[in-house]
Amino acid sequence: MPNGVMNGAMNRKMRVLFGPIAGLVMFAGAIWIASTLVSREYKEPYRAPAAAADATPRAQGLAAEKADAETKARATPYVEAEYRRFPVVGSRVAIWAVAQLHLLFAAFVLAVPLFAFIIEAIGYKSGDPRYDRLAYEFTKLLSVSFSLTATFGAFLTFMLVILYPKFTNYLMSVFSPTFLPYVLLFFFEAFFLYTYYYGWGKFHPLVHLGLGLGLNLVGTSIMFIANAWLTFMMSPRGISDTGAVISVWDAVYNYTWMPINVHRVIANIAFGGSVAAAYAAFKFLQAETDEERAHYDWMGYIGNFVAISAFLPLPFAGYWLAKEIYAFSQTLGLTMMGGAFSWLFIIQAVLIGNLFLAANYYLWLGMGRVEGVQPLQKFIKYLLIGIALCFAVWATPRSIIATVSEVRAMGGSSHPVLGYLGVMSAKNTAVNILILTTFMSFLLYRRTGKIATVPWARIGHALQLAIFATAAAIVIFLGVYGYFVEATVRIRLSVPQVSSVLIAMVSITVIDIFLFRGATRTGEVRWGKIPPISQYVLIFIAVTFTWLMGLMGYVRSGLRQHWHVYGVVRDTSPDAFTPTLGFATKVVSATVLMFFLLIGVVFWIASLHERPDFQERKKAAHHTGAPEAELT
Amino acid sequence: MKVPIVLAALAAFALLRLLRVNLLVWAGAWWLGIYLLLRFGFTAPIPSSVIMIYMGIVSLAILAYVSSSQPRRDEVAGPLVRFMTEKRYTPLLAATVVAIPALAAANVYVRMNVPVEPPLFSRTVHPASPADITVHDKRIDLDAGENPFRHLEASDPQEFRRHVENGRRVYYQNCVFCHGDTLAGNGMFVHGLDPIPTNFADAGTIPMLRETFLFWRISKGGPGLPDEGGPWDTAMPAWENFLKEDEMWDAILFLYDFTGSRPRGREAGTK
Repeated sequence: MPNGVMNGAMNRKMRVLFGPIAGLVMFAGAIWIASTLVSREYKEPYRAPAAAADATPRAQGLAAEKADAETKARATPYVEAEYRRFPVVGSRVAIWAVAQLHLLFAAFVLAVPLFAFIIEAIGYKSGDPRYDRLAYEFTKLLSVSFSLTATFGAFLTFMLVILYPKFTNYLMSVFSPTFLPYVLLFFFEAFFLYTYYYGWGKFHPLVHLGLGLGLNLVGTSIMFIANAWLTFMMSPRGISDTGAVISVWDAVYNYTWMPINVHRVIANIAFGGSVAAAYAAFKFLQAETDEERAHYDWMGYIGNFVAISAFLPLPFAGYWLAKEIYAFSQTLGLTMMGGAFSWLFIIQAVLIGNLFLAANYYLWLGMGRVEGVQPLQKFIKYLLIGIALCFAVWATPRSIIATVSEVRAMGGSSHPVLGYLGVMSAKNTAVNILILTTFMSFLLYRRTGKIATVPWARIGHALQLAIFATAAAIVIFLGVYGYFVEATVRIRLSVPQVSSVLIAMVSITVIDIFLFRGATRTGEVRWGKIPPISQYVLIFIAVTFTWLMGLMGYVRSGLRQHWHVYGVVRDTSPDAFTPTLGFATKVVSATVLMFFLLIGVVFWIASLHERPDFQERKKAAHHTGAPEAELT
Repeated sequence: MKVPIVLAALAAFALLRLLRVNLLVWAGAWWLGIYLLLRFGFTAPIPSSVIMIYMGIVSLAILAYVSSSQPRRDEVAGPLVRFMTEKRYTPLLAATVVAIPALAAANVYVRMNVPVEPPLFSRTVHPASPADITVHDKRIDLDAGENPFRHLEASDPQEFRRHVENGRRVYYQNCVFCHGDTLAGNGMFVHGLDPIPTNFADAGTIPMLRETFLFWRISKGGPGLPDEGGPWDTAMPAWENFLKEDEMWDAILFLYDFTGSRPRGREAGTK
């Protein structure tokens, strides 16, 4: 036998022998370790039975104390807790942050289906597949957001029950008939949402649009029910002086319910549009190809268009809400507009002014994507002057922060000239002109690169200009007239002001559509050819919208001051005080930051769709020689 | 407005137009021109807090304009890039680098080198009234209530005038010392008061309020102001201790009558 074969056989025998020997050694080792450990384990020292040994006075004392505590605990009757304390930040801030996060996600989840449905409908009508793709892309953001909304909703409910049990119990007793429909609608919402999302392209377009419509109707109904609870807290109705329920329907349909419903539907669209535009901006900045940039530029444009279109009527819905608050209680109205919260409205004016400026700026930057834009660029400076002036008027405080020497130099706490800009007439006028100016910016953008060829083009342009000038003149005239009439008449003047602006916008748009029918194009729209700063503007708009929602939500809720339900259920918790505006803005800012971190996660999860499968990436990496670590 | 300053600003702009300066200079000139106008162009000076808000808006607007199109961006960025990259500007660039922190330091010095004054006071416009008050053992509903003599204006003008005249008497016997002969908040005691009394002739004061609100402020005065929004630091006495209820309602009629303004009516809700 050759040596090598001999050695191989020996090795095999050795291995066979080695197995049992190793097993025995390990077994012995295990026994040894176990017995060593057992022998060294802690053993209680022997004690004599309690009955056999004399108890020390300390042991006797401890036993007596324990027995006493037990007897006391048994004798104490069960008392329902009124409040419980949340550690570190306190109950109010905890509820505030969770409620705000729930609301922000809920607003997003309600808004996205609204404009996804509209965009899908436009796609169906026009036959342009881009719209369908865009609507689907928006909808992709929905499913994760829906789960987060529901999670925050449950979180909020638990927090209310834990931290404010007595008040929550009262709300539940008033609104008990509304809870079952609410839960039921949630089931429908889930059904419509998931069939709408997963059924994309699987049904006849009309059936799919029907699902979208159902989703929107159910979502809006859910919001209406939840709005009843929170508006009741501010303007309770349908209850006796002691808080007993007289009519649930009256409690639902209280003073501020419908204004809040309308305000929120509009604001949700604006907010959802802006967040979707921010998503597109984020993708645009990440894009590596011109095609991607073109798509996300267009998506950002549409999202922003939806946001700004909804944003324009929002101040009017806000006025209605404020009017109803005044109608319900003079005290609430004064607290809001002239009292402790009035300075927040200056912050609001600054934010809204920034939003208008940013929206116009985005449109002006957008003109750069159209060839042959130069002739219209010259109008920007006039629009800008109008916007800056209106912004300044809106941000002028009625009660000016001033040193004693400044007050004396002015001759009073209000400035003799600027004092006129701090009141409603001036602010109403400013916001209406801002809206008109923004509309004109959009109109300029719309006609960039086009020349009207209809025979009545000159008359059309002149007519548009005349309508614009008339609307502006009416707004300014009524604004000035408002200084000479009593407050209730002045507030009513806002209706013709708004109407003239709306009529002007509609009539100018209608003329524009016919004016530019069959227009000559001087240049094509080059989607994606826009400076990156425009995308940061979109992100800025989304963040500002969110911040604004948080801030104004605080005003609405904080107005009640030391009441859970205004005038009925008093807040007797340690948090029953109005925090400073600085503190409030910090809480709102932290919440907004949390929201954007979470929405970033939503965007990331939504983007997993587009990611190639792991195995494919592994193969691709194998071909290109990329290390395994890059496949994570 | 101070006309010479406005004219000087206009002349400076005309000169810039003649010189056909580039966009960067225009942007700087606009910023500086508006600042000077706000700071020195008004007879009653504008408080610095408001100038700050306005200048923030102006800065944003100018930045938006100069970056709104590619040619404008190039026109503004060009001189700046040249300034920072061309060798001939190196000494000037070094001077600028030194000047920036020096300016910040100078700003700190100027801001700190001011006479000692009470801190900035952000007074809320109107304190929030309670829903109801009790005056001379009578409950007054501030939300739903009305001035009991207001209806006389239409139903019995003669009687209404009598109440207004009584209000005039009450005002000139009690309120004139702080609120002044013409109700402009400039009575003889005004120099000793901070905050100064309300100017009833100002369109932003009583025309914005309901008569019940005025009744609350007069009857309960400074001691009756809410905790929220304080400290109020007002010297207004609680007039319920000195006047009858009817006298206070009459004084309110007089305030509106004298200033020619109308009280705010109760909002009719759409509910």
